[in-house]
Amino acid sequence: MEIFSDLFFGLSVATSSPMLLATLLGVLLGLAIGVLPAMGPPAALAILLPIVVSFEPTVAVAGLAGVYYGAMYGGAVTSILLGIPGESAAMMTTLDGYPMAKNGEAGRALGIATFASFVGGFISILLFTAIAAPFAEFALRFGPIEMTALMVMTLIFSTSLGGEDRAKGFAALGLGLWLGTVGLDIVSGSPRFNFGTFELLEGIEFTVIAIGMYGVGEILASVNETAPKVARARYTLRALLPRISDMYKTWKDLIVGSVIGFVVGVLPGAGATAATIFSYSFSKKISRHPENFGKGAPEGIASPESANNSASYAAMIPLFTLGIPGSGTTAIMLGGLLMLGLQPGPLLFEQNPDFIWPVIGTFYTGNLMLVVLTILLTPILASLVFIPAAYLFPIVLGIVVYGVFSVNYSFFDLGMAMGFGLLGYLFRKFSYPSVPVLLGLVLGPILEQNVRRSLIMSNGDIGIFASSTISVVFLLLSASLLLLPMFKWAKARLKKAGV
Amino acid sequence: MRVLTAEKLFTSLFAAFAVFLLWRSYDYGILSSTITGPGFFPAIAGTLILVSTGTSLFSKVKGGESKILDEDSAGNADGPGTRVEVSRVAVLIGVTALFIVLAPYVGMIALTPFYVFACFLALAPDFRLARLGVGGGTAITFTLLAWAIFDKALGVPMPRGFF
Amino acid sequence: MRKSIFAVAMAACGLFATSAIAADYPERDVTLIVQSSPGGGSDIIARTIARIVNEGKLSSTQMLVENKPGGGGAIAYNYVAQRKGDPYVMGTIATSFFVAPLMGQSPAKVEDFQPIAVIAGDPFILVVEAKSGIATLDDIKAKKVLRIGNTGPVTDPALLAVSLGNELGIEVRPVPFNGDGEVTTALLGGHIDLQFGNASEVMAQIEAGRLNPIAVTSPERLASLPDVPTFKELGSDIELMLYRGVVMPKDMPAEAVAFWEDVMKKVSESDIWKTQYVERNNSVPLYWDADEFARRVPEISKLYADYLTTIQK
Repeated sequence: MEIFSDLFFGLSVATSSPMLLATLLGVLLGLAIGVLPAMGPPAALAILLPIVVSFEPTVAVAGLAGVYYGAMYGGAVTSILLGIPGESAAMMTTLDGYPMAKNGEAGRALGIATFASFVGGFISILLFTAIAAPFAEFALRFGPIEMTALMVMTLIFSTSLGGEDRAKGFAALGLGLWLGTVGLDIVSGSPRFNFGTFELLEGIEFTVIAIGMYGVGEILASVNETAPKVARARYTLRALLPRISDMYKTWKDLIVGSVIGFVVGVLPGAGATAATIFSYSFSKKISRHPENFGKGAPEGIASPESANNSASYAAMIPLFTLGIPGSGTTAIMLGGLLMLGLQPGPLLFEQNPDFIWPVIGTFYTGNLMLVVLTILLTPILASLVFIPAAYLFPIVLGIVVYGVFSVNYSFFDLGMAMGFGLLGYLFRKFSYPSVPVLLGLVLGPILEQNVRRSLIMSNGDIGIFASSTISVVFLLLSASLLLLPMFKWAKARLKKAGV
Repeated sequence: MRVLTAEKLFTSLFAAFAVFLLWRSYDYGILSSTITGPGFFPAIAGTLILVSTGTSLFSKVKGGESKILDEDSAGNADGPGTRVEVSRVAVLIGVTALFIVLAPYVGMIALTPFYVFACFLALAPDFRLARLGVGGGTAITFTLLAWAIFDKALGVPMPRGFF
Repeated sequence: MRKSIFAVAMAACGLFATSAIAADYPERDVTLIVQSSPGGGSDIIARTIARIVNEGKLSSTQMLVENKPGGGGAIAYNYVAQRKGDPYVMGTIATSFFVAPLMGQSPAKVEDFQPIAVIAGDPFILVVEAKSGIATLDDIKAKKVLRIGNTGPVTDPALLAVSLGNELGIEVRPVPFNGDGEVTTALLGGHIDLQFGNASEVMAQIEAGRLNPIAVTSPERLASLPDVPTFKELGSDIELMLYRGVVMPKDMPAEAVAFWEDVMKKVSESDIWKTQYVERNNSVPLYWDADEFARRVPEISKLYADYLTTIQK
């Protein structure tokens, strides 16, 4: 049981005072960055990097990792209270978190998010401790072919989120898929839909679209609800407090989210946001009351929040076990490790156990700190919903301005965010759903790139998708997902005809 | 009734945009030698939009005006009407556009209190002195906080303008 | 996005500085503009250079690092190019410095800059998965069809892949990914056959025995891989490195060029540079002064231009 002695050693170092301090600073900064709209973990890490390079490596990495998973907790806050995703992986949390807060249950929503984050994180850390290395090897089997099949399945799963008007849902999905193609095409190297600007060459930042369509769009759509002295929710103590009963009511979704988050999070180029989409759609599929999703269902918060926290730890697995960054955020962490003079590679666990185990130890302490911090902050944060819109909206617009500008230091992005705000407003007025736009935007590029990679590898032979067991399983599942409703419908028709 | 007409117009514009996408996709190349080209995926997106908006338009026309979406005049009788709403939206967008144009010259921090105050007035036009005072206070407090967080703590390089 | 009045004002400052340039240059802090985000390759270099300059007091004022990512580097290059004659701005360069203007993505051409110095070259190592059974270039030649991962069609690894295919007379299928990490992952998983990897990124895998090096693209063998031949030794024409250097805007007073040329020479000779950058990243130490750099710029630019015409056919 070497793993227990390693872990014990890691925990004992992680609870020493400099490590605790570094973890605390990291998670606090992560929480704060997660709360600020637009600024996600990459931006936070980028700011922190030049500062921490002078620290001891273990302390520095404890802080950097703390920022990453701390942001996953913080991201839920603005999603729930303002309907603005604090960072991209918190996008799905707005779907049920914001309606619940508007119903006067902000504390309850924050409570579910915190608990889900804790459970998702904890399950993921346990799995990380136990099976990181073999799991990283398993993830290597996911190449372009397998990713294509996985994305097809996720996309089919998520069409259930299109809203009531199917046609409008698919139109919105098409828009999202198109938005994902803007910028340099990585296969041909030629620009697409950049309209002659070089700002669009690297595509449109996800947060710019998400903040525009959700945050700004929501504000613009409720400009008439700004009579002074009218609070957005009635004053009740109940609105501020989490509910214990929600914790066990959502146990199924917590497990779904944690597992999906862990599996998808470890895959190269997939990311936490894709994991939350998959997890949310899955929870909706297995729910007995799918009609409540999007209207403030506790499961709709628990599922994506446990997924994004779980994914944030899983995303660090390829970095620590193979020395390969699997996402933008972990790429910056790798840059940090290099600056610190550490070269993570397949031998990191063997050669630097006195680095890796204390860092894993801080995952445990950091997760505990976060759950305590967020629970203490919940009543204070939740009281935000008592502020009348007339005072809150100007401040939120100000935060949007600063947050969006700070992503790329660009006024162009800010203009785009306002443009998407206007589009989000029109979508709300004409009852087009905004969710499919973001689904298309997240899943589209992953799907497109992997389809084209696969076809380059096979020189255009579509048969390549049948050459991998994993891919065949996913594709069969996708087909059954498509055919099952048709089958049910046909059966119902036959029954009707028979009677 | 009016909203329904506007919705039809919006959906038609959306469909027209899809046609533009298809045209550009054809230009980019749907297929390049044996594999899918740069235009393949945008063409799928364009087709999806075109078919969906077409379906939406067709069912709207065929089904008649069964669903009246003008909730403002129906549900929210004592609130301000659609005209006020549209003008407020226009002012907010306009003020932000002005901010984007002016910020590089005037400086982002220096412009912020005016921006927040303008948004405050646009959302609830009420010119009593007490309200103006609260609005001004909010604007200045926010600016100070933004300065402390984004400029001092995060070190975001913001245009300083004349200062 | 820089507004013209702002640019004019800065240009005026620059003119003023030009006429006033004297023995006490530099009088103000100098800003080093980086085209990548913090944590990226160029950023690590910029911060190391700034540290050496500031700690070693190579300049009487401080060197500040500012990241201007976006537009495939174009935003940073344009920013530097527009500050004509301003001796307080310089920028780092990468492959995008040569490629962006050729692709019509950046209005700033390579002629719009004053080259200062190149202080290191990052070589590429051709690697295969350890269990693939490939050990030499001849094994590769025997395969006929090979999938080579790269990070986009106009990057060094893609250029190298096409050159390799032409030389060996085999069919290469260049598979683009979003970053070197994804390419290495795909290589380890056996989804692709070859990678031209940046030394700093694949060295850990080579040491762990997961990847096998075939050859390096540097002019001479690498100190850290003495047993791995160069392409030249194997009778190939392939020789390419990612040149790491700094440039300044055009119309630079000769004093400023000479001053920074000298500072960069001291940087390249310093112990910190050798241990913290060159050794750590398995780079090739080298030094080109402003004249040599200026002479090489059109050569390198032509190399990419020729490559672009071949792939666009």
